[in-house]
Amino acid sequence: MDDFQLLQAWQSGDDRSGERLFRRHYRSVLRFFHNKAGTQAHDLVQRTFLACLEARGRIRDQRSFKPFLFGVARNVLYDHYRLARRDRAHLVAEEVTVEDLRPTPSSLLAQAREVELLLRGLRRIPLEAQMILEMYYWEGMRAREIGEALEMPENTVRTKIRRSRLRLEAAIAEIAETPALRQSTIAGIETWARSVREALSA
Amino acid sequence: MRLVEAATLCADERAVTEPDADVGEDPEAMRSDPFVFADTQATPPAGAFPSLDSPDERRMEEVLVARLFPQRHNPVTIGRYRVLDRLGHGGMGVVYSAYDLELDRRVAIKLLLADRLTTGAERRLRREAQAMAKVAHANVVSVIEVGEHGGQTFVVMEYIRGRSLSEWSAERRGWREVVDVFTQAGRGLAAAHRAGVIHRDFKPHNVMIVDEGPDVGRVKVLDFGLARAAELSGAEPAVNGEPTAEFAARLTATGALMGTPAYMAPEQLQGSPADERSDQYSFAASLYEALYAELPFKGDSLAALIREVLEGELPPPPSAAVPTRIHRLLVRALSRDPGARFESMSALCDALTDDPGATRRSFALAATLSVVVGAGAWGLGSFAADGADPCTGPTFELGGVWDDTRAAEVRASFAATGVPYAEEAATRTIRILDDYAGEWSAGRREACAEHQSGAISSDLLDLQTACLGRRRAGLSALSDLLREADPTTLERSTEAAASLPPIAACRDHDGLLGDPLSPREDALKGQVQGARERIARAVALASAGRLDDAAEVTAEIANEAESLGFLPLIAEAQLRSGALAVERRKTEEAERALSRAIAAALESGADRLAAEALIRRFYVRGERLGDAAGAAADSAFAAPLVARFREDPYLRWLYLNNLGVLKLMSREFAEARRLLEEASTIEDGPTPAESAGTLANLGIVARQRSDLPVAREHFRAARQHIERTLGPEHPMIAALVPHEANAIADLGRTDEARTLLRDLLSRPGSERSAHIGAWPRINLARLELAPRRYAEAQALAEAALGLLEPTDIAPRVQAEVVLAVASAGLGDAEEARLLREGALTRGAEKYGVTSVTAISALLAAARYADVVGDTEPLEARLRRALAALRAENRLEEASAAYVQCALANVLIGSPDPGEQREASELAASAAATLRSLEGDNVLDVGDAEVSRGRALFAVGEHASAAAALLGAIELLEPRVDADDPRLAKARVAAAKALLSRDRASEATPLLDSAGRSYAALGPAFAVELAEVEALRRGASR
Repeated sequence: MDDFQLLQAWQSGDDRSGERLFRRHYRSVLRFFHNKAGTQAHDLVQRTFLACLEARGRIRDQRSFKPFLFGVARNVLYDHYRLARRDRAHLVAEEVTVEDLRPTPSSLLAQAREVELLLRGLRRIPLEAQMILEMYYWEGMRAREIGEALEMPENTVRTKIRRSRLRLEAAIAEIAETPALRQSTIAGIETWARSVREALSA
Repeated sequence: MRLVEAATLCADERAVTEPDADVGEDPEAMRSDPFVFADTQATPPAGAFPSLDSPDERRMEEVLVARLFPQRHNPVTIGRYRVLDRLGHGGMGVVYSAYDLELDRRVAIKLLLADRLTTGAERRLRREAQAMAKVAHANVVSVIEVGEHGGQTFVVMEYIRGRSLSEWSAERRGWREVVDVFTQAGRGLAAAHRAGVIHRDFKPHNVMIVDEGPDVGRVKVLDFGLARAAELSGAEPAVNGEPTAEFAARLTATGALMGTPAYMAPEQLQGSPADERSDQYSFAASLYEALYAELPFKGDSLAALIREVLEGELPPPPSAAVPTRIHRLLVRALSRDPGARFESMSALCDALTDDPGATRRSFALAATLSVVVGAGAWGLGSFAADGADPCTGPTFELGGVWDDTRAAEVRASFAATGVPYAEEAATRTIRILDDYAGEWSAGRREACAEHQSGAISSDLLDLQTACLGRRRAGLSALSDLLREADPTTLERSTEAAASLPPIAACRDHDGLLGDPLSPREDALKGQVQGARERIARAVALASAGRLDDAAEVTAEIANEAESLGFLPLIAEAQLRSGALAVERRKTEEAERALSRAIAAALESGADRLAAEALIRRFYVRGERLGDAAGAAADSAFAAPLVARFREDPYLRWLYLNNLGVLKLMSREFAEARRLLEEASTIEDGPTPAESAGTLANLGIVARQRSDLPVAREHFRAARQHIERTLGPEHPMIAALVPHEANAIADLGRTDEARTLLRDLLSRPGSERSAHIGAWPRINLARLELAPRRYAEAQALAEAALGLLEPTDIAPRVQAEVVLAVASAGLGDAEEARLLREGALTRGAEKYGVTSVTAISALLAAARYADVVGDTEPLEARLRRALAALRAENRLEEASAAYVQCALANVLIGSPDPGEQREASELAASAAATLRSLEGDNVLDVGDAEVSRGRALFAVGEHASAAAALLGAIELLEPRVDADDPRLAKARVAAAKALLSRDRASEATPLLDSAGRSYAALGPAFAVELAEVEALRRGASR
């Protein structure tokens, strides 16, 4: 059974299929929330899967499951932030950064200075840019898939990947304590991103 | 509110204090966290990222699966506890929140990573946790159970929500609050110690303040014996100050222990077993950090930190806000030798809560110097040398009053103020006090020896001893003050030390025997000596800047003296009271007290006191009350009295200086100069500040006589005298420099004047000196207007206004006029007019239309009339001022000429030929007046000639205009800075006049220089530059 079939089976009451689907994607979703919601990450993972369980209409339009799943995760994250921000009704993901939203620093991964800097840099760029870069580097998703998850045209995603990277570099430059560290982190964004991905999917 | 799940087992602080997502920890704050230092040391081992496949992550996956598919899976449990969520994790293990099914409550569970502990360590850990389970104390997180789960040890603890002390103290806290909260934590530690449990890793991260539930606000210590579990496995942390590779590796590997060495006791760092006193050290290091925002010992790397802890010197207190009492306790608790610390945590906590100084702190910060800047005279109130009296005063030693310990305490307390020049000030002050103390002891010894040898009588010995007792009282008061120094005390410290009354007077037999303050009745002797010692203390208080406190004491003594009915003491107390009132600018109070002092002194034959009181009163009457006749009468009485005390240099100096000021006020400059010059030759009487005051007064006299180079020299000499004796940071410098700068600017050297002022303002502490600090800013702001640096002028004027009280009207008026011009220059014309008119009106109403303040402000406003615009009200004001000067018969004075000149400048712009004609006449009259005055008025004449030339040009008399302007340029050129805008303006005006007479060849070089100046002055003079260019094109055609 493919992912959509597992989901449909879960929706018809088959918990075994549900559990299989959950175990298949648990780590990707946890990774998604990890650098954005700190200790709340596990709760949000749970809410994401529950939201999938309830999502029925949208599934038919989707070509592959991962963009669908990340689209749901993104909405869960937005809801979470809106909740957290209470009366501040509008969350403009193109502008707001996770550091604005004040999430928790990731202690799980913050062991190498470059990685820590990368994660902090990611939290300091607009949320949308952060999500795009994480999907691109960590999940290995293609521009088309990211577009599906975020509901935007593929070309826009490509532009945004480029811009987001520039923003990340600027953010890192701003917070790096030494020029050398800034240099090594920016020069190695891809490398560091990959090492994070490898570590996370071990 | 920040919510943090408390209880951890791992030492990963960030995980421990991980807050909810809506309100998180500021990631920037982490950078300043003390554990960051270890970054440089800890290169992460390759592949060290914990994977999502760890047992812990697997457990979380199971927790989620159990939540999502409850039919298929049982809840995840540890022991009898159902795991709800993960709270945090780190090198040593993971913390979960869980549910205690049996007792129906929430708990926190720490699960230790098995592979991180040796068996022995784990056994010991369990033993300690069991011991902790027996400690029931409000300030300790209670341990509920210790158990084993799948081969892993877990500790179940009370579940609390709160935040760590490190977060709590990141916000600004008062020292009392910090000490209170830490003392609670300390009581928790003490309770554990009583149960035989050592914490081993006490630090702010391991203390929580409860945020929720019945225990809200309570302080709880966590993690007894747990977080240092890694250490228990036996690695020796450091050998000879260098961390062992094994220890460093462990720090790195656990990642989490990074912050800890910063709080560790030296013996722990050296690998000795930790005991209660190690906890005490860690506690003190944490409290120190919370109070001073820095650790007692710091290092850029682990090795450097360990070296500091093991070998470094504890720095002086980094802040004065915390009482030195607390600092001393911390210093003891941070002793390198555990035996030198407090005997127990309880003892330290007791000492911390014992606060004997509650009353001492109520002193108000007071006062600066009694200096009249800008208005003309320099008033000084100070204290004379004491006399002596025949009391059987007790014999004390100086130990405890002034000794090496005191000196060290003073040095530490100075450093704690955070004032940048604290070190130099301490060195200077301590040197003076050391000398003073040495002289005192020598005096005592000599007196004693002379008595032994029969050279002096017992009575005389008594007098000397009593006199020395008063000296000691003054020294003791000053020493006490300096030990708890605040920045104000520090500023005045050298002066206060230098102002202590001379010891030599206590050895002056004739003076002592003739002292009227020696009651015949034995019953009175003790009381009088007691009162005089208190007066000596008050004098010390006053010289250290505590004027209000000192005034309170002297007023009290005066009352007591009245009820004793001992007239000389009344005179003495009232005299001190009056002198203080002068310094505090309480003019009427001063006159009242001094008058009473004079009466009491004359009645009891205490002529020395009567003389000093008279001298002070004539200053008050003449300078403060404007009562010239009263002042003259007093000074006439004072003169013969002073003559009788020829041997008293202080009295002579005071008389000459104050009389000089009086003559200055009545514009008898020659006489003023003679008196002040004589005063300036007296060396051993006045204090350094008083001597400098005399020099400054001489400068003011010279300035009034337009003897600018001499004025400048006097002001400079005064400043250098202070710099030499009281240090370059003394607040009086800030009062002197504006005078010096004004003299320099009046000489035409505005660049040099600006540099001098900027230099002064860049000195540390220049922003603090309130009233006095405002003047240099105002003067500099005013100098920035001519080159049109409006933004700078605006900032300076606003800063000056920020330093001033609403009642400081004179400087406010000046500052507001400058601010008005700057605002207009920056485009806010509306604001500018409101400011200008308001300021000018207030200046004139408060001080009178012809006062120095009003005229000076009006001239500044008129000079920049074209910037602000709306010249009509200005014209009216200038006419009113001129009329008032005429009425006072002062038209022959320089200030009248300035006003005429200013009025001329305003009228030149008028379209009315009549007014233009009037302008040329006013300017001509001004120039003539200024030429006729004695002294150096070259620049003033030059300015007036420029006005006259421009007015003549306006009325079409081009030939005379050219002549006047060329003459003016000749006067200005050698004196002013090359690019002074007024010179450029004169050149352009002259060039225009020459061009209209077809004298282009003469005009061209003038235009060239003007063009160069305007180009150098920058874009603010673009319009002028363009005009010059246009004229040059016209000239070349």
